[in-house]
Amino acid sequence: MAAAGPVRGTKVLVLGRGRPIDCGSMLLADLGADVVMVEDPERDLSLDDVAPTIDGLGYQRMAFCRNKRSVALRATVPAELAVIHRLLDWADVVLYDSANPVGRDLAGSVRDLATRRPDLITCDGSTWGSFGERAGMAGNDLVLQASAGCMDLTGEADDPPTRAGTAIFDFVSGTYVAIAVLAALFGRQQTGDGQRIEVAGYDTAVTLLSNMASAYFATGEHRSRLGTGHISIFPYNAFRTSDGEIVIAIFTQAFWSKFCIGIGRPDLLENPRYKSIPDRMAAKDELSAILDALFLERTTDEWSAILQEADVPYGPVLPVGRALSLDQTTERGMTPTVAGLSRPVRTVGSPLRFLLSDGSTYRPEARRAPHIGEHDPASVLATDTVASNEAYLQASSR
Amino acid sequence: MTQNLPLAGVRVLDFTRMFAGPWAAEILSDLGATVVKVEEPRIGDPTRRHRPLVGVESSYFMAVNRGKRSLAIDARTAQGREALLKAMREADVVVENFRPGVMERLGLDYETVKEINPDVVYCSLSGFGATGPMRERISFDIVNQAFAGLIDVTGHPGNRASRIGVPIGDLSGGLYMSIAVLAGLVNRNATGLGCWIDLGLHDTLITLLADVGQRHLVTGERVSRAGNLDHALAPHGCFATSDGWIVVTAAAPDDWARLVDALGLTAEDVDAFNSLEDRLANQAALQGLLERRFRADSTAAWLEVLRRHELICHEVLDIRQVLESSTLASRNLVYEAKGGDRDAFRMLASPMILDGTRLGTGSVAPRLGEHTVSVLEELGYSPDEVRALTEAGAIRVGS
Repeated sequence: MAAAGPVRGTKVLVLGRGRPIDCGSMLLADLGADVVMVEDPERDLSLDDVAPTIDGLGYQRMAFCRNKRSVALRATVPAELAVIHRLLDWADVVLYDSANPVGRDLAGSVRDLATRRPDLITCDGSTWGSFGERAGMAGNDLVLQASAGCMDLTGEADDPPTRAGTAIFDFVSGTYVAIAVLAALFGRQQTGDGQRIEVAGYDTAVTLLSNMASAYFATGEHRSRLGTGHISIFPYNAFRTSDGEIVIAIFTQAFWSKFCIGIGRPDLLENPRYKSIPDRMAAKDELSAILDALFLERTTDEWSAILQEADVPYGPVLPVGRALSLDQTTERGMTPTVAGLSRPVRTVGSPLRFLLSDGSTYRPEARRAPHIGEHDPASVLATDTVASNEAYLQASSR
Repeated sequence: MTQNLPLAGVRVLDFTRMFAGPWAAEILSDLGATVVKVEEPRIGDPTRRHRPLVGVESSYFMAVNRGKRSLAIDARTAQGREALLKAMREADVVVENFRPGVMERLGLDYETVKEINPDVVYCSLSGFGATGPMRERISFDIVNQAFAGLIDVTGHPGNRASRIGVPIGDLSGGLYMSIAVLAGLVNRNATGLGCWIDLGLHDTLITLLADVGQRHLVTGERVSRAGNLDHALAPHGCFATSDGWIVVTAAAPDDWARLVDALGLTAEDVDAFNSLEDRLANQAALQGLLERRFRADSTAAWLEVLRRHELICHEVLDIRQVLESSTLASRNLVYEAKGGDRDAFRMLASPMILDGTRLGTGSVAPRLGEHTVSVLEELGYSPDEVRALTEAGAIRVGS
């Protein structure tokens, strides 16, 4: 039996675009929220149109806007602004980015509304936040990778600073937007009160330094990029094979022993120069040369079989296509077919699956992203207008 | 203060260790939940032994266990299990990140707990989840990054692939665990039902492929690492200056025009790069042109020029530069942690600000077993019973 989503019926209005609020609202939509994007086709210049496209939807829009509705409204046109105000009254949750043009125009309205409606939940998901030396400036994932240390930490030691291959900071700031909104929804169920939330992408990006930051604070020392390597453990990195790459993580003595025997080199285990983890770190260059040569002798699949047998942590460096077609990935339902397209196309789905205590289950579906302005504001307002008006009247009479 | 936080009064029983799970439980604690961290009594969470130390404690452990209470108890003893079942009965939330099957062997799995606490929100996080052919595999950040395609897409073409420099494999699992628990709590308020969520780190990492993965799924093309180039935007990357590195994005038409102006390029210089399509089609040549310009002056000089032209740009900073920056100071994200007899030390707070208040600035991580006695007393154990448990080796009482 399929259950309804955990946040079913929650009305989320997203003012303008921006990756953190796109991601955060997609997570809420996956959980059953009714997410409506207010888009200004003239000012929300986004990556939506970049090819490849299907049915006029760019792959970026498909990746971040599933399960949502879209209304096209310009805050710069009074009649349309009036409709936006009605939608604000309709919403339980309002997401915006105070540094992009649409969000900047409407931030004042959102703040005013929050003072009249204490039950309203608002979240500003900008890059730099509402205060601090870069408040109000534009930004993006690349800037966050540079400004929060991640680029300096990524790449081989002799590489230039390197980007993570996907927009991880957009994703992380989006998850924090969703986390804060979900917590606020829970709080509102308990007390009736909403929250004004701020999640700056910069703060979320710096927070990811977590244990590396506390190590720096403790010692004043820090490291820079090490490729796939580890600051205090070796071997813990990628090696080239005859047809690809494979990573190993030999982070205990037991794994070192299993590894040496498994790869047919018990002599390495006997060698006092490689006895402990500090020994192996000290002899990293010579040990690295031995392992580099050894791994080149076989294919990734051959090494995978050997390391699997040896029971040590390893992973083939899979290209995206193979990662997505791995049995583990597909059997867990991570690449659902998108509903509503003219031909079957799969997407990267949600990892969330709920088994409820009455035996029912909930698993997010993947309905295609809407085209800009595909939905009529009147039809959005008609979803539960009565309840929303009551909430509004109640709130304004307090 | 805690009273006003959204999760005030929510009781979390936290069996997680290492990084991903503790990160999630710390987020719940920052949001106001009461988190009891269950640790085995001898060494506790393995990260308690990780160096470097702050005072006599692990800086790693301190970074991901702020605000929790520590219950040091051996779940493999009969008395330990009995006490844990009592705690489970009282809990709103249970989180764990053992390999699949471990909680079942301990008699503390969801089906068992559900019998005594039907509306519990129970979240399990393992390397690959509780189902599928790889469910038994050993998981580690780098291994998961490799299997999810993230290492292959990171780094420079022709050179070795790189792992992402922050432990995103663990972090993404922790973030999704927080989302799962919160969604479960909202659902419980709406329906009265509890739930179990089976999360796999692998699945959470696959979601990071989002647009990159979607590109592959639409066209079937092989998507691999592109160094500092981008599949959809140009220019959008990292450039060497005479003394460092900067990133710049100027893909939108207005931004591109301002960049051309800022760099003093002529119409002839940029003839092949006037539209985004042209710039994407001729990325290597574009990159070459921009690299030559940027190398001609210092990072500070370029940032001044680029900012004057309202372009999105930033210097590439290392950890020290980030943590000592005036930008970070202006966000109040670093705080002085104080607790017990410890000297104050610097920590990063939560990125969430609720009603103007930054979360996660109030407390430190617990010592092993620091709250064993108080937690057991709240469960109804008398001082004599606590003493008997200590003597039986089922619990450890810390300071």
